[in-house]
Amino acid sequence: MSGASRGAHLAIQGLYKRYGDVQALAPTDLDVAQGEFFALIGPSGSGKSTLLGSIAGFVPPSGGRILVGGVDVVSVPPYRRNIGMVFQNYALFPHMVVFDNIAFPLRMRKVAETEIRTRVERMLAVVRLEGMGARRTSQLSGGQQQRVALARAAVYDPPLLLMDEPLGALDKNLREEMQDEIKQFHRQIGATVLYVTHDQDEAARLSDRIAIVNHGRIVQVGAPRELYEAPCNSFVASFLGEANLFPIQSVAPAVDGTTLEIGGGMRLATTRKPPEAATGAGIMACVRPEAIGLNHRTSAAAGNTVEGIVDDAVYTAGMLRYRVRVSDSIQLTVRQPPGHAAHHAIPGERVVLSWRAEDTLLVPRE
Amino acid sequence: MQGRSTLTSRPDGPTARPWSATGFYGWLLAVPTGFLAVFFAWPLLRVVWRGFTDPHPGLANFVTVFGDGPYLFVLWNTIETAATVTVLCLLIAYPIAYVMSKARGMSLQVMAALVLIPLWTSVVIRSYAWMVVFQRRGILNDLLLAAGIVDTPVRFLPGSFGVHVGMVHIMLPFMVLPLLSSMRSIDRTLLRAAAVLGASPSNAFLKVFLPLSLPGVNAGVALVFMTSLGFFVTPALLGGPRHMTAAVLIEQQANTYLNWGLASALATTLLVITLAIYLVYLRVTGGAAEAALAR
Repeated sequence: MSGASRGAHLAIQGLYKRYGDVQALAPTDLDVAQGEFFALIGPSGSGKSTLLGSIAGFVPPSGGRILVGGVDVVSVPPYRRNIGMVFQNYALFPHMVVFDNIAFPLRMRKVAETEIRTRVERMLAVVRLEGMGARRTSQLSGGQQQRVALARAAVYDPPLLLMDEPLGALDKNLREEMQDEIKQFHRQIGATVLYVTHDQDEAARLSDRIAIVNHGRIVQVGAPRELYEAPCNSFVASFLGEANLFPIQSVAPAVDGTTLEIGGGMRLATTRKPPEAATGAGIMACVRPEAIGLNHRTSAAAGNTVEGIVDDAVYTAGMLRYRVRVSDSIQLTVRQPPGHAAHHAIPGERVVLSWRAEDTLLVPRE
Repeated sequence: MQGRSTLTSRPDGPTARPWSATGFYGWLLAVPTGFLAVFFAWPLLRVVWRGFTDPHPGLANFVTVFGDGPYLFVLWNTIETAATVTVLCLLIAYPIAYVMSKARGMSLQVMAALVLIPLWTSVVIRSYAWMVVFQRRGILNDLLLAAGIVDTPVRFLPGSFGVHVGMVHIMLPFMVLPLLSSMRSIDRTLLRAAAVLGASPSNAFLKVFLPLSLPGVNAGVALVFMTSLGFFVTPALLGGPRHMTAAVLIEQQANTYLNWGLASALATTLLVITLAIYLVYLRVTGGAAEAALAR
């Protein structure tokens, strides 16, 4: 296993797909580096499956180029593209045992049986299924079937590995366990991975970079932290993590930044500069739930302080999540680690929310 | 197990047994079981009994069947015809079912109608229709003569050619339908997976689609073969004495020669042969059926 050198560079150039008048994929450009773990996320029907299908060869694109390791594969049939793929429902062959499933791509490539044996056994070890080769796939658990699918997709050392919501069918705990395994698996095989999911946590956990897809086009590409901290529009802000988004009624310059009028007599301070000549109609204010302090001693640094009444408080796995009503039309989501705040607010309680002016982001309205 | 022990330990015993679904469904089976017992099992037993007793108790009828007469030949001819018809049906029906399994919407409905509509027409009428096509001055001969392919009309009837064509035509839907249902249950993602993994279309078909369609092949083959063994109308009308099958022979012995003992012995032999073939078939295909169920 020679590591990351085996991954292929993937370049998508002006790729688009139309079904009649419907544009499933707008002309798209994308570059994925050798050995990179790259996620495509977006709501269902956003075009991410069309993009993946084009790369795999099931969806003939209406135009554009797909370069895998510098070679355009658009006119190459799927079985000659030498791309690996893991499917959402695993797509294991039910009439073959585990060994034969993993050996299938090698047999199609006319590899000698003795070498097939060595490589399949090695792959079974990588996915920790030693000694399970003779099992029927129907005798395996969901997680084990997933591992067989991974082994089958990687046994022929494809330089590019596509994964189409591979963990979609698993329950939450198993999913998180498998995420770690996929991460480790990627390190071992070194292929370039293009990973489609609609689970933004999963994408953030696994990927070097993420592309957010909506309405048939890539909206933003970046590292998870970049996308979260500097979303390029309101869709990205609300799709990746939670966001308090406010439509802006008017914009006024202030001493060290801008004051935003958001209705209901509420004003927000931000250090960010709105785009030139913006009246506020095309932009929204965005505040992340973690940025908001609850009943912190108000300090000059806060910049924003509002009062509200707790509508509900929910405890989920190490996080306290409050919905706080600030006015009739405005409700804020606040998230805090429970150890952090000495005081745990209860529904009906009056609280003070505060956050720094630089945590009020400005994003174009999508 | 737990539930059962508490039930039997009750002091008031079986009268206090609670209502259970299985018990109720058991009663639902009473009517069809009774019907089959009276109108199927009992007459069948009478036939077997008669083979050994009519006109005298003993094995005389079976000695005749397995003796020098034409009877064994007719039985063999029956099996051979059924096998040929089955193979032809499979070869013709597989591509039809394959295309249908890929079709959607209107085209599927049209194809389904084309397969099903012949089923609504009586076998007798369809067999007569083939007589019209195949007779000496029939449509086929007219065409052949007009096209100059033959100089004198070909004698298609009576004979095995007409019997085969007629039977294949009649049995075809019974092969298409099980094939279609098993093909439609094949997950198409598996074929995509095969393609990505490097299987050419022909390899994807041979290594993935074909094996997964085998349960339908088994069902269709069993259905068509077993039905063909007992086929009466079509061989009677199109086969004549030169292509006699077991069912025709039995009818002739019973109705024309009133030789009920020999007819019964022939029927019994045909029944035993059918069952034997079926059991062997189950043995051979058992593994495949089990694999299909294990999905």
